[in-house]
Amino acid sequence: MNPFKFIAPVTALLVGLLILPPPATAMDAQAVMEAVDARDKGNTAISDTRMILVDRNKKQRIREMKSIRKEYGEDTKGIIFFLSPADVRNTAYMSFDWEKKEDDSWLFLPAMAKVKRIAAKDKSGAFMGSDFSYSDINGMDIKDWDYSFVKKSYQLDGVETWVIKGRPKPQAKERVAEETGYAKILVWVRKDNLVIVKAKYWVTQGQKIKYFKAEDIEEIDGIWTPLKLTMVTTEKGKVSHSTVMKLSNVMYNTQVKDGYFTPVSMEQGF
Amino acid sequence: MTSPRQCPIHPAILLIWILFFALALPAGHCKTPTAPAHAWEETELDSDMADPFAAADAAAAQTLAAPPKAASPFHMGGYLEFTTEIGFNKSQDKLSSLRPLIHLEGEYKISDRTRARVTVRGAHEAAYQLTHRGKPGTGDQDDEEWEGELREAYVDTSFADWIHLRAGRQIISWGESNYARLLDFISPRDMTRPGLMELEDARMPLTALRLTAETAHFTLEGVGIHEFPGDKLSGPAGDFDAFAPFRLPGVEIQDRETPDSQALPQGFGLKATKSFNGTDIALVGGRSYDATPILVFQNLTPGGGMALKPGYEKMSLVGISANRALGNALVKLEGVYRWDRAVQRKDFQEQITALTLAGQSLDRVRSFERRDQVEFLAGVEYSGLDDLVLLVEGKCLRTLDYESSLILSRYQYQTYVQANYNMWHETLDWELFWVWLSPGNGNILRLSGEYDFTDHFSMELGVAFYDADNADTIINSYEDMDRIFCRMTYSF
Repeated sequence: MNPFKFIAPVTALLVGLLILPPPATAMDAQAVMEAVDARDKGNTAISDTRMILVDRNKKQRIREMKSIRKEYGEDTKGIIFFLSPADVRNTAYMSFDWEKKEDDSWLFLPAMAKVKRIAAKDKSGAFMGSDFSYSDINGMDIKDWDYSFVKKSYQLDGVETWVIKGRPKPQAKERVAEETGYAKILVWVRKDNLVIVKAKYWVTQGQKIKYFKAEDIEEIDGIWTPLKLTMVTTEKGKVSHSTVMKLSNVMYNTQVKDGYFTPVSMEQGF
Repeated sequence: MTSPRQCPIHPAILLIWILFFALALPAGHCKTPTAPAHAWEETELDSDMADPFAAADAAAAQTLAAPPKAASPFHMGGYLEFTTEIGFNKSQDKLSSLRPLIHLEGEYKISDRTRARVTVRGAHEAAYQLTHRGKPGTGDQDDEEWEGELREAYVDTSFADWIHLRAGRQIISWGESNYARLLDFISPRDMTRPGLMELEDARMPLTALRLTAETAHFTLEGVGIHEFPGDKLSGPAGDFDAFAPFRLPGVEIQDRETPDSQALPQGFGLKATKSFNGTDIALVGGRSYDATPILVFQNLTPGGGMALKPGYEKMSLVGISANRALGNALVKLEGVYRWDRAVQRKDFQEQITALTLAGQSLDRVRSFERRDQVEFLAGVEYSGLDDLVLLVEGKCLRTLDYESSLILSRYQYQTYVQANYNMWHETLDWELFWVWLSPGNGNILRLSGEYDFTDHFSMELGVAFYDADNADTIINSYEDMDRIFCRMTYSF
């Protein structure tokens, strides 16, 4: 695996995905997505992630990592330590996601013995060779999208959901396509806890469609958290590659020292 | 060795091709937004596939059922590697390398603030025996045939969350450049297979104390260097003999002499780094031994030749490095001023003749001159194309108070180009690496592909060309060393 592939800002940790605020009842689609976006992620989050990459021949590759995130007002600092496989062990990725300026990100490769800054405005690239893009991990900026209901009531696996479609706003279409790689999206949002439990993404290139689902949703430290995330990439109606992420040891609002988010911390490893 | 010969693919042509590829890619392959290839249907609510998740669920079920590994303060790992190189342009001994290598590493997290790490490596170059290559019996050659090395052996500890100490054998890498050594003056490098070795394998550890103090945006590092092993160089039986230009009839090159390790630092380095939004700037200063050895005249040999001994001289430097993220591009700059650097002379024979005619002692033969040097580097790393990362770096070295008896030219230039293209969810990585050196228009070009069969087993196949028929290029003696290579790695 080429470690230089960590080309886009990732910070926000995997545990930051899809964790939601109290349910709403009479909202329009835009308001629902704003509620999803404004969900409580916890001031800090720590988790272990096992990521299983499955190719079309069902051959598996497994990556394991430790993620730490801390909120600083509107800004977020995050660091990911890669634990396996052996050829990426002790690699670390750190990102500062600034609300009002471009993100900063750095990569430490133990073999190079150097922390190096990486520049990647483009977040549509694959995260560690998976089917999740960096924008999937980081989350998309809802201000760039127009949302509307497809169904205000839809039963999905026995739970009530909203089905919402999203298209980039005309003035942001090119930038959104560049940054996320998506032309439009369709999401299923659970009404009881505002978790996105299913999604469909139309990729701007290659006639690819990606399917997402969230499972094993548990309330941890008062925050609804999906512990199993699956993303499947299809091309012309056939599955080409899949990724399953399994989170464990998730902790919110514990004490995380600022010293985790420094170059020396990247070098020292977890 | 100096017969004119064309590189099968001239690097400049390849570069043009790469640039053309980058600029002329069909819009669908670039990150520029394009109209979808088909009309996007407002989708039906149910999936248009029976169950897109079925295959992933089935394949991952067993793996997910296994419990995660329990956290342990101990870690053991490493890799086995087997390398084969065929020098297809050589007139004899085409088997250039047949080299098994084992690399072991161990870590122990003693506490939240302290951890220890040890890595060891052993390798055997079987090609020497299999090809019955002449063995000159020098210590350097033995090192190359049988390698056993304690690489890293250090302890990391932190005080008060913002002061950190690393003590022991370690690799220290400074500067922005991926390849050039402007501010990266502390750790030596393995130069036995230039252009073939990944930089991560080429960096060598040394014994040092490194103290770091940091805040959120400012870092100050001080390094005391207690050991200086020098660059690892290939001997006369190797394909890449570092002293080949000097190995003329009658010239004896003795084993090199490295400075003794001492309890007191033999050199030091200081670095102050400030991070801004999108930019890092570092100021560096230091004094240490130059990693490049100097051949020092010893005496005339009984046959009328001369004996030269590789040794090391100290130099001082001060420099600055900076980077700037601009969209998907990272711009890098480095500059350094070195003073009192020992620069090799090449006129031993002329000096000996002149001194002999004048009836003066040969003790007055000058092997090197101390000169100041200025060196600049600029580079850009671009990652805005699908699965492709491009790196271009160029540097210029100027030797002040230049005179023609020095082995260096007044100006020396080098350009590095690297392109990495990733396929199949990072299962297959293609890499193009090209170095251009001036004077002499020397080129090293390597193209390789590495395929990960599993998380543990990978194989790399590649070809390397040395376009060095001009006698002025420092790689002139590598002209016939073109080769194909295969590297299999099992990591654990």
